[in-house]
Formats: sequence, structure tokens, C-alpha cells
Amino acid sequence: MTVGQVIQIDRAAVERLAQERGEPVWLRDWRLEAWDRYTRLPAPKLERSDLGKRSFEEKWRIDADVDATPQSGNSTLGVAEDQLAEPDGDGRVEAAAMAVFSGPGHPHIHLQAPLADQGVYVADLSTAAREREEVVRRTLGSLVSPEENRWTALQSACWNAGLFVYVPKGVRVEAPVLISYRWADPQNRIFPRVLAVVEEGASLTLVETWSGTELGQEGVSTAVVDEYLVEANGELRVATLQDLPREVTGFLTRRGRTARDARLDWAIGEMGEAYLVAEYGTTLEGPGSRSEAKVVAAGTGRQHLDLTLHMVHRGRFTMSDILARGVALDRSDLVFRAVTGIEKGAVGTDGHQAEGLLMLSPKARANAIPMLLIDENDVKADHAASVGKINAEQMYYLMSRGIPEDEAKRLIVRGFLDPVIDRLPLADVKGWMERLVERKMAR
Amino acid sequence: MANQPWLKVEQLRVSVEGTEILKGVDLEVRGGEVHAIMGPNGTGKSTLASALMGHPKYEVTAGRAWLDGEDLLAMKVDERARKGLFLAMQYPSEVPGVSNANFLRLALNARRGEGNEIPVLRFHRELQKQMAALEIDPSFAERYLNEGFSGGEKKRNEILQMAMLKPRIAILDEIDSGLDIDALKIVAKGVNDLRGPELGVLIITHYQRLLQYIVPDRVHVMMQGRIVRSGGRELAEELEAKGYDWLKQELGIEDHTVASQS
Repeated sequence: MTVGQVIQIDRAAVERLAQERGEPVWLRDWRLEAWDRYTRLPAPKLERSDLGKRSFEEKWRIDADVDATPQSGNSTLGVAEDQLAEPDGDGRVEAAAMAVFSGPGHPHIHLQAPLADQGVYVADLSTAAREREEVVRRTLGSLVSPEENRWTALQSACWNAGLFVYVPKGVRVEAPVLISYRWADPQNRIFPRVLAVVEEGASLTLVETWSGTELGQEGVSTAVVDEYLVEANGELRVATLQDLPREVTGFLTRRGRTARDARLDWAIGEMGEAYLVAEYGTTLEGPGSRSEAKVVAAGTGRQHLDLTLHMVHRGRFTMSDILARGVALDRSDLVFRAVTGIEKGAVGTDGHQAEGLLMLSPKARANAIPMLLIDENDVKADHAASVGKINAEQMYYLMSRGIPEDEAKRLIVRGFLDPVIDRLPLADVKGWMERLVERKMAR
Repeated sequence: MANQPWLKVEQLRVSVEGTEILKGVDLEVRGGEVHAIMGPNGTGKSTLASALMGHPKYEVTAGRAWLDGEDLLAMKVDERARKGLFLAMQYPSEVPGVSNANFLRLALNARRGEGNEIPVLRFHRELQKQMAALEIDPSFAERYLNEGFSGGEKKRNEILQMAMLKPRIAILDEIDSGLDIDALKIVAKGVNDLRGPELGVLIITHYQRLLQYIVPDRVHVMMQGRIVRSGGRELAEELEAKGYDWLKQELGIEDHTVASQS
């Protein structure tokens, strides 16, 4: 692999990036337009997170030379070995497809042959822009516009780890598609972008794992955009498991859109120590569509997590449900914002949300901000939010049976998170989250 | 006997939020004995139980307590439990997300100590056996700890824990309150089945009713934060027949509660 010189990004670097990735002209122009937007747009003002203080943009650099050849390595699903359960015991994960990003450039992708025969397509996004131009061109940026704000513009211009997943009409992909990002080298800056299209009546599960190690004093910035389009009667389950170290500062936007009677379910695990501003959202466009989000967060160290979950009801008889639980340890700072928006005309919709946060340390901070924005009368919507400290009576009760303080605390936290973890759709994801919670609590 | 359970309390004074509730309690319970502490409400009975277990709200201001000769008050709550003290609580906490069985296994293994954990199968056999004896529905093993349990179910669950943990000294705090007669009989049988030289029991109640089913060896009456009278089981019967007023008159106490003395 070429070791590139890391440079502060500029317009020429964006152009070179597109060129080196072999992207078609339309995509290069799309990137450049996004870059121009970026230079004009002001930084978004965030209520509770100041990315400016983290020198977010100063640390935004890319490798000047992008290696466009596939990374070396065999076709085993090695990266996920330490992250996901091992159902068959030999370290391999049951997956329909696997994409591994450990630096910029093209990912290593492995797709089961029978799925390829059925028309399932998993490819590097730059490659897909050539090979599947029509669908990529039509959908890229359709849910997260480069024009939306300074950082979505910057991300659109500079993404360097892209994946496109396409499931054709009626095809049900049973095993998950695993996407693994590894921040393992401060020189390897990853700006992930995922575009997934689930056609009518098709079904897909995406699991994204994020991990990282020692990234140096200087720190690393990243921005992420994921877009998921679920067509009529389609089903998509997205699980994201974040375990990034504190050196990372990130701005994430992940959005999905559901057509008629489609379904999009989220399982979100925020377990790292990074400084993140993240938004997850579903636009329930088609009538009868549904979206559920299950969120587990555990803040340790000086983690700062500003998380927004956004359900937008646009279609009639749509349904959404947000269930979020977070624990804040050490000096961590968690902000949970849950927004249920019901637009005019979305009659018969049903939106629920419940957020609970538990502060385990006197220096930890936690904020739950529920919002219901309702412009239609004939709807059901409710919310419940709580922020609290660990219950002293529960601690006393458990300890009075001989359970040591630390273990009692761990039990209560596990019990607090369990209603969410228990409802996670995939056994592997569930196990992964359980292990991360255990690890965090054992510190 | 060296290995006989032994709880000793000497001149114990306890305050809650700055108000003194116990004003010098003396007590001694040994293995094989069942003691009952009786008295009207508000006299400090439950305070004694909570203070001995080490509830953080109860501040011991003077006096001493020993479990098997060791300084009980120097131990943390979990340590007291591991040394063999058990308190069946009047208002057990609900802990959502923690299954009854999982909790009990952790507690039992904590009590047994590292390297001496109970094999999982044996644990479940024992649990099923004890649950059956207490007429607890087997589904309760997997239910979250006390969550959504009725008052009676919680009390039975306390006795179940006691049966599983096999403490050396068990304090039963108002274990009869809120129980109908059938549930009371089941709970009493559960306690009676555990009676023996390996266990000393301290029952706290303000009704004599429970003591018809768990017959005590010694009865103590508490008023104004002190034990004002001790006797054999006939003392409970006398109280049942005559009420507390007789004793108050005899002792010259007008208001039996703690507050009057402060």
C-alpha cells in the first residue's frame, strides 16, 4: 500500500481523490460542488456540543495518495472475529457479505456467491458509481443533502471509505452484511459513507462496527453519512456498534426513508469514548411504514455523546418507537435528544419514545431531551424521559445479600440496560453489546 | 460451642437524620434460638433491624454489635451478609432487569466465596426445591427481582432467599405484615423448616399472630427505643391477651413511641 503524505484538504485534493478512486465525472463534480458548498456554509450551531473547541476541521485531513488497490489479506472474515460472536466456533462469522475498512481506499469485500447470483450487490461506493450509475446517482445525497450544513458538505466532498449495498426486489438476505471500520493508525483517516437500497419486498440486515486503537495525541476527526432507502414492503435492520477511542472527534448523520408498508429498525450501541455528535433518523414517507430504534449508550472517561434520534412521520398510519437507555460513568457527558415529528396529513400515526439515563458518577452528566412536534390532530404520540442516579435502596438490597458494591452496581446497570439489549434483533449484536457493557463497568 | 451462631448487641444507639431512635439496646441471639421483638409501631423495632444490617441511613452513634465475636459495625453491608447475617426486609426493593435466579446465584456464590461456587445445575435443583416448599410458582425464578410481585409474593421471596443463603443469624422484619392467613402459614413453615442449631432467628413483629406459628424461645418488648421487658413465650401470650397498655401502665410509660423521649 502506498503511504501517502497527509495534507490539509483543499479543492484540488478533492479532485485528486475522485480521480484516484476512479470515479465517474458526475461523482467528481458532485464532490466538488459539495466542497464549494462547504466553503460557503457556516458551521452548524449545536446546543450542547462545540466541535470548534475540538479543532474539528483543523484535524480534517486526508491522504494525498489514495491507494485504490484492494488491501492485502485473505478472504476470511477476520476483522469481526474479536467483535462478534463466533456461532460456529472457528472464528468465522455467519455473514452474507463483509466489508472491511482499515484505512482509506477500497475496502476488502467478501460477498457470498449465491447472493451475487440473486442480484445482491455490495461494492465500494466509487466502483458502484460506475457500475450502478443510475441507482447511485439517483439516491446518493437524497437523504442527507450536501447542502444541509457545513459538515455534511465536507463529508460529501471528502468521503474515502464508501460502500454501496443493493438488494433487488423480493430478495431476502438472511445473514447480516457486516461493515467494519477500524481506526488503527492516525495516518489512516477514514470518512465512511454508506448507501443502501432495499428494493420492494426485499430484506436486509446491516451491521456496522467501529473500533479503534491508539490514535496519537493529536487526535483524528471524522464525519460519517449513511443513507438507507427502503422501498415498499421492504425491511432493513441496521445495527451500529461504536467503540471508538477518545482521540476521535466525529460528526455522524445516518438517515433512512421508508416507502409504503416498509420497515426500518435501528439498533444503536454507543460504547466508545469519542467526542461524537450523532443523528439517526427515519423519514416515514410511505403509508403504513414503521421504524423502531433501540439505543444503548455507556459513557466512560471524558466521552461526549450528543445523540439525536429523529422520527419524521409523513405518511398516514405510520408507526415509530424509540427506546433509549444510557449510563454515564466517570466524567462522561451524554445528551439524548429524541424527536417525534408528525407532519400535517400523517393521520392515524403512532409515535412512542422513552429515554432513560443513569448517572453513575458525581462528575458524569446526562441530559434527556424529548420532543414531540405534532402538526396533525388524529394521531397518537407519547414520550417518557428520565434522568437519575443509581437507586441507593436497590444497592443496599443487593448488598444485603452479600453481593459486593461493584457487582451490585453492575447488576443494576445491566438491569437498567437490559430492556433494550434484550430486544436487540441479532444474537451477535446482543452479545457484543453485553460484552462492551461488562467491559465498561469492569473498569 | 465454637461454631454456634452468635449475635450480640450492647447498648446500641442509632440515629436517623439526626433524630435518635434507638437509645441503648442490649440483645443476644444464639444458634438454635428464636427471639421475637414486639412492640407497637414507632418504637424502633425496624430501626434495630436496619441498623444491624447496615442501612446507610441509620447512623450508629454508640454501642457495639458482634457477629460470631467479630465487630459487626465495622463491616460493610455486603460483608455482614457474607459473614452470615440476613435481613428479610419489610419493603424489599424491586430491581428491574435482574432475574430472581441470577440474583440468588450471585448472592449465594458471594456467600460461599471464590473457588467454592455452587454448580449451576445443583443451584437450580436447590432453587426449585425451595420454591416448591414455599409454594412459589416456578416462573418466579426468571422474573425480575421483586418487580410486580404482590406484597405476599415479596415476603415469600425473602424467605426463599433466606432458605437459599442459609444465614447464621436471620432477622425477619415484619415478615407477617400484609399476609393473609394462608400465606402466613407458608412463610411460617418456611422459617420453621430452617430452625436448628445452625441458625439464630430474630423476629420483629407487632402482632402476636405470627408467633402462634413460629413459636419464639424469648420475647422482648420494645418501647421508646429500648427493650423494656423480656421474657419467655408466655410474655407474647400475655401481650396478646392484655394489649400493650398493661405494660405501659406498669412501666409508667404514657407515649410508647420514640419521639416522646427526644
